[in-house]
Amino acid sequence: MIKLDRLFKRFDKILCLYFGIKQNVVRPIKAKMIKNKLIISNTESNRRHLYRNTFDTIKFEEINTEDRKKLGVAVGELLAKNLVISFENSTIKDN
Amino acid sequence: MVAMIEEESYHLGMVLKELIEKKSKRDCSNFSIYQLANHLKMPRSILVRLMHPDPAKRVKNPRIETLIKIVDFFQQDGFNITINDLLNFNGKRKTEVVTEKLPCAFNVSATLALYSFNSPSKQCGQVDVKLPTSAEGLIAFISEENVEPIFKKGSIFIVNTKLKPENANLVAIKIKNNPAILIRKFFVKKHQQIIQTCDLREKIILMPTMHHQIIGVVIQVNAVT
Repeated sequence: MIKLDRLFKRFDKILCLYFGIKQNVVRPIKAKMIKNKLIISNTESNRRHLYRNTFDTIKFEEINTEDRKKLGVAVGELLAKNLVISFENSTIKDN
Repeated sequence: MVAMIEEESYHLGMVLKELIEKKSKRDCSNFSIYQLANHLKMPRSILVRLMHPDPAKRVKNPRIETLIKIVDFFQQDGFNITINDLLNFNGKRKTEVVTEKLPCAFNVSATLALYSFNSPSKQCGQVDVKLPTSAEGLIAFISEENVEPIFKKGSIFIVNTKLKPENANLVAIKIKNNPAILIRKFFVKKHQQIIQTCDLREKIILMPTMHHQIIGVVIQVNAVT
């Protein structure tokens, strides 16, 4: 059964690649601070209900650029006044 | 960008429906009565009765508390609306809606001097960043350790040295006889200025002191994911 399951998953992955369908798209909906932990409520493609993640377990590669910006603004507002968080990579250069 | 709408014979429910539609359109995502009720922490049925198409079933005299909550929510979301706009719905009415969500588009590219938390006096490089505001008075610090509550080692903190700290700002501070920069939360409570760790566990420090100096206000963090 496990082998069959793996086979189906592999087949699904190949089909998604062929059709250009992203396998998983995560959309953050809400950010909340609960007992000093940042909790993000997300929806996921093909998943009916909202689910919660702590911030450190979020897979940013599954979140599109626009949603990452919105998440950064929301988390920044949650943590402090006039704070914005960017999840984009920064380029560091020597002097 | 601002959109103006002029209509006749509005009722409150139509104004609310219009606001919800405008928000959905602006944010490019479906915003529903259910979500509005969640945000306002009130039963959905109250909003449904306000917006009911049947005048016999519609609530025509909502509580002022309900109206205030609705107006506050949309104002904080960038809509230029007041209680008068909701109440002056008999006859012609104009609604102003800000169609670009404030505050944030990272439109300004800048190169900032980069310092490390542990050696803030020595520039260790330069960093290219995108900012929502101009780069005047900004410096960047890179953290060599994790910074509570969510920032991992290598995150870059952009500090505005010219900004005066306000309540609930994140600030970069320096302690006497300690070369390192620390990140703390700044509060103003009953005319007293206080700094505390972000997780609020350390004891409160009253400002100003001889031992603590506020370098500036943290306005952006480029967080490592």
